[in-house]
Amino acid sequence: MVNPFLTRRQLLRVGFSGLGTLPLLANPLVIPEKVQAGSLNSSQTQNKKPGKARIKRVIYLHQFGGPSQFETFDMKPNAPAVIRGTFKPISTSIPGYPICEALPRIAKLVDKLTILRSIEHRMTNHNSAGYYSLTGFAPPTDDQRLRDSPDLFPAFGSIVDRFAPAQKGIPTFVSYPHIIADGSITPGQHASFLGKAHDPFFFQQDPNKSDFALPELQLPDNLSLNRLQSREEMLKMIDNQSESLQRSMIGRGLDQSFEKAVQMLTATEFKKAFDLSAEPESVRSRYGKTTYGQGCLLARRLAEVGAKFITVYFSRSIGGDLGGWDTHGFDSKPMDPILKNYLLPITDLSVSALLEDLMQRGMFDDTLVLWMGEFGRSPRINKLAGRDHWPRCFTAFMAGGGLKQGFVYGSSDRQGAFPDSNPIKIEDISATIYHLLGIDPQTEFQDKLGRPFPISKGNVIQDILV
Amino acid sequence: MSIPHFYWISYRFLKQFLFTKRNFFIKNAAVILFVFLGFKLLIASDSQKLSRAETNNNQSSTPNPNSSLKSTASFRGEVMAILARGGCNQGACHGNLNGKGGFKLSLRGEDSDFDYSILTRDLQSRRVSLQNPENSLLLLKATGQVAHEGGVRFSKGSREYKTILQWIRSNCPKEIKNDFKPVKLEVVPDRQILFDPQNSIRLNAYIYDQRGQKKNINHLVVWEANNVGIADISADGLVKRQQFGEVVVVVRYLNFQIPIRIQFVSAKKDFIWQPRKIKNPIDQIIFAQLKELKLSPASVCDDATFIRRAYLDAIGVIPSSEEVREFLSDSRIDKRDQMIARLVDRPEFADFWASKWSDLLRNEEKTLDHKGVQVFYQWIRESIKQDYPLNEFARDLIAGQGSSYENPPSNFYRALRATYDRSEAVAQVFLGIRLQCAKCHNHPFEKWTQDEYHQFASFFNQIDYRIVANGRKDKFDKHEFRGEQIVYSDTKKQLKHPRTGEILIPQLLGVKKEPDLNKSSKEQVLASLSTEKISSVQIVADWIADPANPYFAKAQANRIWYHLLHRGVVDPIDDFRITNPAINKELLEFLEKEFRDHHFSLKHLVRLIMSSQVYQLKIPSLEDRELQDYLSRNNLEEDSHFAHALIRPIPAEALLDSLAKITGMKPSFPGFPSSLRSNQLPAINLKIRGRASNDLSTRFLQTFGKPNRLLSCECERSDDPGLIQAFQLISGDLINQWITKKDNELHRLMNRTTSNTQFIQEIYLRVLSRPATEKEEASLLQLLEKRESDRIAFFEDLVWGLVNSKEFRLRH
Repeated sequence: MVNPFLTRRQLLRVGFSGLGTLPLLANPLVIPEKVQAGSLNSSQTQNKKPGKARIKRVIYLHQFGGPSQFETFDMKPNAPAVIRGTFKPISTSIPGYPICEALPRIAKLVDKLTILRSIEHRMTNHNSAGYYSLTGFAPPTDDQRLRDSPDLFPAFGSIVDRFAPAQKGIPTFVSYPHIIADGSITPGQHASFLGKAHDPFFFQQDPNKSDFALPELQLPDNLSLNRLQSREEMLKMIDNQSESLQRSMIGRGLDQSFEKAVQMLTATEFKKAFDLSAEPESVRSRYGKTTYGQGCLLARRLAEVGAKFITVYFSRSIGGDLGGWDTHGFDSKPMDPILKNYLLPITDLSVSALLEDLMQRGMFDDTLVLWMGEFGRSPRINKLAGRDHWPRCFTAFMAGGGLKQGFVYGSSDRQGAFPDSNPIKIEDISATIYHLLGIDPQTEFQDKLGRPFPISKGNVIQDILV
Repeated sequence: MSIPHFYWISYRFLKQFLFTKRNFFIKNAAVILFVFLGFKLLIASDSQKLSRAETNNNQSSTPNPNSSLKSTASFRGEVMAILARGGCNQGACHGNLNGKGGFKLSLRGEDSDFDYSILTRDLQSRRVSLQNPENSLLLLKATGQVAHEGGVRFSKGSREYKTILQWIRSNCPKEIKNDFKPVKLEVVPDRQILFDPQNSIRLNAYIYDQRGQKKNINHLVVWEANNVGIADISADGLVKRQQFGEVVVVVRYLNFQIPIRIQFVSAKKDFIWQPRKIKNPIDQIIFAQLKELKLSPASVCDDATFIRRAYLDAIGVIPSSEEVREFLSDSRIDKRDQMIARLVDRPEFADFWASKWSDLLRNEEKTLDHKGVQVFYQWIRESIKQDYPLNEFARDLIAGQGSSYENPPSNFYRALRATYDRSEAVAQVFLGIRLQCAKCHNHPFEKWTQDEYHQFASFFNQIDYRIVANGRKDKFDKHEFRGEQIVYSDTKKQLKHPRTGEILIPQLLGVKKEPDLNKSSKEQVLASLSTEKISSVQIVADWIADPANPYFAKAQANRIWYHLLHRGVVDPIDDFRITNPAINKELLEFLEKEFRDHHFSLKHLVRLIMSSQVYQLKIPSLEDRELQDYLSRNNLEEDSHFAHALIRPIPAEALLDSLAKITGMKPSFPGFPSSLRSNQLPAINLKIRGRASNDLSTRFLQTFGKPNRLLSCECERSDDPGLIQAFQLISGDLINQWITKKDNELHRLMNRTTSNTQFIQEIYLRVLSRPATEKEEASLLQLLEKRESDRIAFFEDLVWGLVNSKEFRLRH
């Protein structure tokens, strides 16, 4: 490749990978950061061939606040009342594995899920644990207000965008409809040291609103499509005066994002995905007329047009009205009514709708749905009739391609306090996600200081793979 | 195994059985065994015999750390070196924190004791088998005779294989008598330019011992390239070109490493160096290197390009149309020098460079509070305005204590709340050294050891804070402080080594380790610490501010060079290490000396660099065929030895301030006076709890990469182009409002200019700092003919086009 304006350094820096018009940009994996020369033979340990992708995309339903395992997927009906709580188990499509009575629709789909009952870590605060759950890297400290700084690790989706970007014209990584925060913004939602080019396409508009639309994808009132076109012509003329800038790598990087932005502003498939009114009313109400429900529907639509990592945040805040799963019982608001009237019904309706919809459209087998929060809740119900934070053992589920269906992996002890078998680290979950996407979890990347790290420090959970 | 060692084990063994409730039979058996072994000991008169006896009698015999056998291989000098060459102890393999496949080596062989015991004792010594050396797991795995995830590292029968086999056969000695003690590694040649058709070179590595004895160790060193795809390096040091370009070969043996720069150049045979005008020694040094490389630099840029570049690099904003006109019509020959002299004395110069330093010194509101960021920024700005020597500036900051409101430099430590944050920041910002890797293990690419890391950090452990007032809004947020703080030294505080638990004696980085000097400096340090007259950070401050400090002048001169040329002579600029050598050593030495000789004057160095011909070269343009050709054939651009100017996106603040200058609008930053330009903004205002304020100007700056100042690194500023940036400039609220607001300066200009040509020329000067070409003017007038009815809208579109153009968005 003969080009005066292309250097490896710039490739790494400017590479707006998802939009690459340059063949070299299409797969940054071809540019190893450093290889051992003069090793004793030609086989290089670094040079691991990427595995075959088992899935095309991930939908991460992030459950901020920390959902209770006891009121969802790891019930302890035989434990004392102070542990088991008041919800009753109901039987599911897996004989002998009951789940919470408030999740009747999901109960029928359990035979499609892969339940992980023994996830454990030591982070007790929402932001530190939240960061962990979004990146697969343990934070440096268990800090309640962990600061979002570029020496922390990037979100799963940013790593996917870096190593296996979506096709041209579609953002790899889309996150909505909340930027989650507990006092300060929870780190781990962005690309961090991978650079802005790998940030998610992030919006906070409510997909449940009738006027749902993204200003990023709208032209201002005084700027008609025609006028934008005439502006573009003028820009081309001006740019033509500076051919050397035009041909430079940085110049081309600017062009790529410019073209992509214009594409998105004018009509594209991606833009159409946001038009939820194109869905029949029956489908929209099946998902539930809530922010989360319509968010799940939008996830399916984004998946259809080619987005590869879609994060739907359940709530903006940890708890409270329309908040997340943080049910301590504070402010005289005991846990049970919140679960019964708000958290569980929405979850049951929307999540089951998404799973069924994916199956009906034949997308289930090449999609991974991950339902997970930052931690679980304490075995013992506290004096306020709530449960406190509990990272030492909690439950999440995966569903979709490459996984054993109707498979319950790991177990907790009698109190649901600690893993009884097969403990799982969040690192193992990130390794499994990357593996399913065909990205070697050992792939190295470098932080701002040039220090090499594997994209996941965990092990692929082989036992749950088909 | 020594005799006391043997007894000790026996004793432990007996104790365990005799004093626990085991059955009688085992107790008796134990006693019998002890007597038997004691008897053995008596007859084994020396340790060599003992070890042989063990080998014969015992199934799991123990390797012998002190063999005196002559025909053996050295563990440290050969076995360890082979493991390093095989890549076995790399981070991706067994050097990994958790090892690989249950086998962990120390990272890059930093801990030979650890590796020795892992190889010889762990896994019941299956890794080395003394009975059957060929069946040692170490050899079976490395040669692929049993499955090895890391593949075949060397073949059976290879030199490496034989060496390790020999070592095992001779009982795995840890030390051998008269072993070669390496003191110096040398590689010949130490740099080389190879012109086509010469396409390979043999490097030779020699090791010297204390007696000056020298031997070739090509077969024992690791040959590593810092750059992929340029050259192929054989296992014995033959470097072969894959394509033209430059490669630094790092030659590594045990803890020695040497970088060798090799350049494969495809230059025309009939190359003739055209002598260039030399303005100052910078040109001399760089042109000499270019001549050596047979690389003709770009020509010097025109006045319009120069004024724009000089403004952006020196004061962080583009020139106004009047300034451009005036400069273009100025006919004095030294007008560029005069311009540079004027620029460094402008108030915007202080604003701009204070803003850069504010990034590095973490001037941000959450920790320093709203008053603190202003106090700190003003102090930095004033220092720059008065050209306060940079070493004194550093001294004030590093020694900075007292009230964070009364003594602004103390905000440096107010922002750095933890011991290691402080030591790492001081090393990175002032010395250009990234110590971070050495926190957990010896630095893999540098000489810094974990001990040195912690010893240096211990200087900063005494810093503590008396919090006079803290009106934080979020009681859970320990990063948030609102109110005055007193930074002080608590001389009683001591830092312990996290691994050994020993109290650390503070030690300056790279201070010579000869026994005498070491002792005196240690005593000196400890004495001065105990008198309490001088705080430990003052020692560091004085050491760094001392003109003789070996790192400071170099690191700062390089930083200034980077801000003007946009690539460090050492790059990244805060990563000085032997394996990251300067692209032009003589240049760095010159800049360092010049900076030191001129009392660490920022303004002097800026003037000197900007007035060089090198600074004023063009970007590679289409007319420069030869240069273009050279660059493309030799895969150079970033590392093109400053043969041409570099293209860079203009930083967020410059972009916003330039847009303001063009349109006559003003950014507004809540909580600060409305007249502030972005480079005058002390720090981003944090209005709402935990969330950055959401006003248009702040959002604009953040979108274009203004750092949040949470790292002590230039690298926190991100200039990669992104989709959101494109949206901001295409259809963003700020750009839309500023261009279309009917009563702003821009619109007044549109309305008062009756001649279209005049408007076109004026707006080109304003945005691109150059007149429109005839061709541009003609085609614009032609387009305008069709839209004469909505002339204003046409002008708005033109402004939009100009500010979206690469010529505007890029520094060139």
